[in-house]
Amino acid sequence: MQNPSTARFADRDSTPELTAFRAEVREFLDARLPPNRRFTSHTLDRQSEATTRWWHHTLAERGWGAPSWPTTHGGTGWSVVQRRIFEQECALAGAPLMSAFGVVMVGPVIYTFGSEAQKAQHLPPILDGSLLWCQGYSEPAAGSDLASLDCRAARDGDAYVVNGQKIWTTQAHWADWIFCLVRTSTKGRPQEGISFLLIDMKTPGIEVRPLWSIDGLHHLNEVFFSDVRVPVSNLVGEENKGWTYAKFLLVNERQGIAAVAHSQVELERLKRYAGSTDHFASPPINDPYYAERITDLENRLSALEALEARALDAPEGSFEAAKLGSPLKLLGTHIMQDIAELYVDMSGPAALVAGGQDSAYGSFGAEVMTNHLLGRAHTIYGGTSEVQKNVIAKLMANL
Amino acid sequence: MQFSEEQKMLRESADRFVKEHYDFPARRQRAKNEAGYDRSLWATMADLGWLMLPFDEADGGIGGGLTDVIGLYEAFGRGLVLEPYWSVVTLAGGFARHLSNAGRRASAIGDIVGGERLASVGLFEPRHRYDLLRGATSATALEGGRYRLDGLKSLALNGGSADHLFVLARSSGAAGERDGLSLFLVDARAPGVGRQSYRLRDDHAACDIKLDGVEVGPDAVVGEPGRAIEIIDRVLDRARVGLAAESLGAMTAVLSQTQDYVGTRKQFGRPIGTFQVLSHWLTDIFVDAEQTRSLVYRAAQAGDEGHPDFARTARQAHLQAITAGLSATKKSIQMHGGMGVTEELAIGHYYRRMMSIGMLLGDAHTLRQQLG
Repeated sequence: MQNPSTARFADRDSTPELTAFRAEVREFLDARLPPNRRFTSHTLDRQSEATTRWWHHTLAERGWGAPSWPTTHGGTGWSVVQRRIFEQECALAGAPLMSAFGVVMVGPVIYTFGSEAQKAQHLPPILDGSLLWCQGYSEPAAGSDLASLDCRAARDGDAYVVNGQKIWTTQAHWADWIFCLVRTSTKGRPQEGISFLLIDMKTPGIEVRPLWSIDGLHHLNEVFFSDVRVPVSNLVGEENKGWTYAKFLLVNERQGIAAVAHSQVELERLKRYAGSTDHFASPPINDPYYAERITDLENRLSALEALEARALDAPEGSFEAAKLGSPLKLLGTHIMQDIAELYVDMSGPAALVAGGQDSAYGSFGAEVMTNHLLGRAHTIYGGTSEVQKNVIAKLMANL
Repeated sequence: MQFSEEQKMLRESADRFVKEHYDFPARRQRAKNEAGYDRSLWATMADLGWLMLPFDEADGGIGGGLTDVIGLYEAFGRGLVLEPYWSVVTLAGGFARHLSNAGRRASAIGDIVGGERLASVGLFEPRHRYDLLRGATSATALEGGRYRLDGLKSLALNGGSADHLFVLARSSGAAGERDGLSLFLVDARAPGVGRQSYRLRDDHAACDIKLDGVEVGPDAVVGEPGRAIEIIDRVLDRARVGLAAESLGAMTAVLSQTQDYVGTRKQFGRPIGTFQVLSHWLTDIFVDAEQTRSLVYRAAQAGDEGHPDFARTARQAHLQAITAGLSATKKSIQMHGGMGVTEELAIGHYYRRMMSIGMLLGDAHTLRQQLG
């Protein structure tokens, strides 16, 4: 039986082919996604490393390991609409989140700028999920001002020797490999001395230390590099040209962060929650105040969906993609936060109970709060909202 | 508002207490305390005269008013103090005053003032959010003015450590009616009383109180049966001023810490506080804090002077404190970048406390509806 939320989305499938495609995706999910691997955004802490790897394997078996990649590299060749349908159905089914670092971030950099050897070595394991990645960008002194990064990579024969520290490294405790922006020169502007290096996390000299976030969970880490020897063949593209590749990656990252389909499903779930007499004697949906907040979010999400369609249509690496990438990240993250906050407001005191405890309030409120607290980071990572606005301002000067 | 010499001394004493016992590393340690509070600090508060502060002299207190106690609350806000002063002294103490049986009244107040025993208040129920009129907990009248209590009250702060529990139940009338609600003092160890303790995100301890055929006598009634709502409104309005003052204290700490951070953290070759967006956010917090201060002090004075408009003023102060407090802490998190979402930084802890202040007695939306 189709759940009501699915119908809401399926109604908008404009051709029989799209209806059939949605059914195909749902069939796959029904067959391959067991109940204990289904989550909502509110139960992210239960998505373990094992589940993440398993999900990538499962998708890869179907040929869906990297839907956004060119077909020449193993992508699915789906249209923008199909990609959205796929994401919606995954979100509706509570499928695990994919680890974006391989598929969305470093994969495209490798197939665009990498050597043939790097493509052969790294693309297949990203595609089939046998290797997980993390992103070595920010440093304690280089956050918004990423170009001022100072993790050094000094050439020594056929290796780079890496010394320094990265911070806010999500999933470094799971990752097999890390892609790092490192400083290979101090001449000229800071951007002109940055290189893009692929590093095996098992290389001697790498230490990962956990950082605890305000949602009470462990996602983030510090990564320390002490005389880590990295083969020169792990340099992507040209030395000191890493900033170009980083900027290319950031546009993809921003599009991914916008998570339109995910937010659409979240909002549908929120509406059901708002009307639930299991949770509420007096469901919030009957209060015009909450009804209006929901409608407002629906409208904003609808506009975002239209923006995303244009962004995904633009060729990868193009000015158009860059022009729309920052607005997408900016608006998408604020919508995600507003949905999460609305969930908390509606939950009321149930959201105050710390997770994992027995209370007559049940656990949903705690899950809602975890998601909300974690979500405060949406406007910070991937370039803060303020940085996005600066990027947009610069792009505007080029229009 | 001018503080008297005594009030200044009280405020300074509260300041010293926070400096001595509640720097942030100490606070993080204290959050791990299993009972949710430190008995020796509670004894210290008793010694400092804080527990007796708001009670009448005839009851063993010193007749302090809201304008006195807000000095404590501002400090508690700054230090993220965990000891359950609000719950025990302001809420439970407020209700204890209205116990109709003189003996029980004296002993309940005496226990609170003495610091040996705690009291807790169970007003809410899980599916009813902030609505006190539709709870399902019932008080069935028995012979001789006795009652049998059945139901569940949630979010009873420090309930797991309490000896005395004040619980709200309907003794007559229909759900939704203001008439017919009664408040009872129940012994935490009475037959039929069950407690399930948990922690809140702000590290405070709370519990659900299950009432399964709990029998109480007429001496357990706060005020008159069926007319508790009037007392509840009055006690809660005073409690709102306390929460608002706590938010004010927290806001000033957040502002100061954030100002320090953006003044030293450099990106793009300059302190990030010199970027106008951040500079303006700091001024937003400053302005919001001063507005909050204005309303808190006005409400405190109105309460002490018995102003007919006190209820309204108190709710306005609480509403302002909630919106300003949430806004200030969210902006501060954003200004701290990646650090802002880590446990290591105090700001996230202040944010979680602000959310509690905005949800323990009703949120901004319900306050606006009440004021409208």
